[in-house]
Amino acid sequence: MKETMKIFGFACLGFLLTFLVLEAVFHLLPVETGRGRAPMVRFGPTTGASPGREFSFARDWKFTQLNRGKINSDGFIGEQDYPKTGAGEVIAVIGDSFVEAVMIPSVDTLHATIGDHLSQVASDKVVGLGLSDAELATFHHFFERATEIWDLDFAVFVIGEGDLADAFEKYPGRDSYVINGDSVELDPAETRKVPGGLVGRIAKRLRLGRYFGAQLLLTPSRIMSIIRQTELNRGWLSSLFVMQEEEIGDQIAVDKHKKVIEHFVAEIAKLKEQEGCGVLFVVHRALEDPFALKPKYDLGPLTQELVVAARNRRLPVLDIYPVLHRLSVEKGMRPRWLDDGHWTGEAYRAVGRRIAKEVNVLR
Amino acid sequence: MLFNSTIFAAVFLPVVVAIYLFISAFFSKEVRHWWLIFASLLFYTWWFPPNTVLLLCSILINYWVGIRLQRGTVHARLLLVLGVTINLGIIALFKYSKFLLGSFGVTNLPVWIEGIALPLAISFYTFQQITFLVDSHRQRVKSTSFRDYMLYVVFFPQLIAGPIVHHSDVIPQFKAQGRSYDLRMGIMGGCIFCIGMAKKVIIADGMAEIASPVFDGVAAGMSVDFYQAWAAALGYTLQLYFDFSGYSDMAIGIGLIFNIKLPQNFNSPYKAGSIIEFWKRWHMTLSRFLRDYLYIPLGGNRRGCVRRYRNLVITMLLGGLWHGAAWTFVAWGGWHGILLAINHIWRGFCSNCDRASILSRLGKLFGRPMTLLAVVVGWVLFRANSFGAAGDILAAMFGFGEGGVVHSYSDHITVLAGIGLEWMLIVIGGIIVMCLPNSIAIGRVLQKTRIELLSFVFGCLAFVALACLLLNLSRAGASEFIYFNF
Repeated sequence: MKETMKIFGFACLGFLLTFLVLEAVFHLLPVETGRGRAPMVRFGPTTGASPGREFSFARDWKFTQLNRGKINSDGFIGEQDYPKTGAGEVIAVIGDSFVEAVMIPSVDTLHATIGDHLSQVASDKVVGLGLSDAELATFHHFFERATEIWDLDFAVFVIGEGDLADAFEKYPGRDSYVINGDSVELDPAETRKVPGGLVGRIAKRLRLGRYFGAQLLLTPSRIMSIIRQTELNRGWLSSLFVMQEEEIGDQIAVDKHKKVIEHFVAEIAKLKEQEGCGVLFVVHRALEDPFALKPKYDLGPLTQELVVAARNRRLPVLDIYPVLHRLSVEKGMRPRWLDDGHWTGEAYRAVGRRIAKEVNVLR
Repeated sequence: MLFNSTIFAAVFLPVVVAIYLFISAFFSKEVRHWWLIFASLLFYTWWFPPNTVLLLCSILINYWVGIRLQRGTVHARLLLVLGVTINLGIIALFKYSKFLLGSFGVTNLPVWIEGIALPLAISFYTFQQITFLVDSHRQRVKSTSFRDYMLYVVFFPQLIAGPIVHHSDVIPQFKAQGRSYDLRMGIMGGCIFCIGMAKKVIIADGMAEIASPVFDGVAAGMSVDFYQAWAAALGYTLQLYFDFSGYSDMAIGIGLIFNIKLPQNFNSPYKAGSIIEFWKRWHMTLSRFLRDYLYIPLGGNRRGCVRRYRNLVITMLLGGLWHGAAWTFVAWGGWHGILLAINHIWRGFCSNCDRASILSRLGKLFGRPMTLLAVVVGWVLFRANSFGAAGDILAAMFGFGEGGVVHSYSDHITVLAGIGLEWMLIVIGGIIVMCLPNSIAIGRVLQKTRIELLSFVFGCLAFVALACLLLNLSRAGASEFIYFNF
């Protein structure tokens, strides 16, 4: 028994020593530190990042995408806190990770670029309400809250195909839509307790803890990836899972989502009328086939539905594909990062300028 | 369950080991072995339960035939032919039917053939059982209980992708196992398992990020330049080695945890000075199988040079086909068959030549780089989805590509962005392969190490393995081993 305990003790010692070495290495390298998790302050109970926290963003271990930043007091990515409640006219840019833009400096984000190029608007009055993996229900919720918090002058919705495909999923801490018979209802996120405790507190202080915490954070897209991976590993389970992404392009999926998309657009139009603010839908294909020599561009069936629904209600739609195309073909610049399909800084600035031009016209 | 998945490493393996240790302490080895059989079947069933039925049927038939052959029946040869035909028939149906019909121009395949999915591990357990039948016929198998035979086939560390265990490797160990558990061997097994995990998750999966986009891109019509082609070819060369040797290390490590020594599968193959040596170091258990059950029965080197080279090429062609139902694999096997034949001719020439010492020195000087080059070229054939894609990459590697321009819509990107880092990773991988001791050498050192230090090393490696598991979770799951497809 004594011998076994000795062996166990030495093993623990080795474990601890390696942990300390790796912790030191992680202090030296610009690795991902995560953005934490908390119900959003004025936009809650949707779960966002931890307000006031500083973070490092690093895509994988190639460190080709590096960024350091801060979470503002509302739980959105940004150095600057957003205007106080009732602080006058505000322009909101609402979307998912494309608006959150964690991989680029704050100055290159859509709302920063739009703020720089809008006439007669102070740049600090343009706010980015972006949240990774958010979809239509959350956009709707953010828009509602924004109209309550500020005197909303204009709202820009940045929408890609994935934002539409996940509309029915009820992810923890996120808003979703529920179909009741013929009607569609917004099902707001539930208030979530962020796990804490001694282990959690220690983990947050460690680089390794923050790194793996960030990696293991169960965002909606990660949940889907894990399910997909499970399905790959266990083929016999495949019939139990309905893979949303495989449904895209399928007419059944389009029909299923059409109702939600129409409801979303109708609600936005209604609020727009009530508040007297302007609205612009910016649509983009999340990722074209990166290896196709002559990519056949189409928005995707769900985004097409959104475009049709918006035009039926005379709401303006801007497809930013030409901007990205021009950037890549004419200027020879890469519009997307190699690894994740998000836009590069140049692409953000180009898209931001184009949106600002459109908003200037519409206002 | 993949060895590098959380469900396996954090749940399945610890539970199976804990119960195994409990049984070791209180019950006989027979109970322990039945437990391993049960756990192995559970492990296999996890993927696709119907495949387990096929596996069990195959075991029952082969054991029955094997026992008959051992008893020396009158029609032993006929029975052997029947047994081997059944095995090859099963593998032909499940693995090669679509390929063969497609190769003969049959386009409208029947629905039931279209619906056939390759049962996991079929190539491995079929080969294992053929060896049992052949050796039973040769009267080289001592009486084997059904329990030992079943455990030999289904023992989960080696079931899915090898090493291709010979019955003489493990059945005597099953019989000889005592009641006590060798803790030292168990800890060593844990260390080797963790090393395998790190090889797979950190290096092989990292190399896949370099190689896969280029191979997939070329398959989709993208053109590649000289640097990209070499980065992809070398990246895949390293990926395949670390993936498969990582898997083999994990299998051997798990075997040791259960106090069973599985045969080594790799011995620094890229350090080989010739193709003959390469095949003595790469996938050693497959090489042994091909030699003993294909090359020698074909006549081996007994009937003159021409027959010998013919036998070599046939063996390697079939070895290539074993890897997958595609002509690229056959071509890869043929390439190695030809290289082996050339190597034998060269050896014969050197030994008969007056200036043998000079040629031998030249061989030593250029042998390693030339072997590596030939192997890398072979891996391009092995990895590419088609001859066209392989041709494009090989052409780019040797300067006949489209001039290094990735012309296209710039979303495709890759050009040389980040290529500096990719080359750095390839160089690091190359240094690990060429300069650091392999698992066999590490195992030898660990064997002589004091148990306190051994457990300390295990603690270090266990943390690395834990980090690998977390890394896998962050990648939304563990990636499959390449040899799972074979």
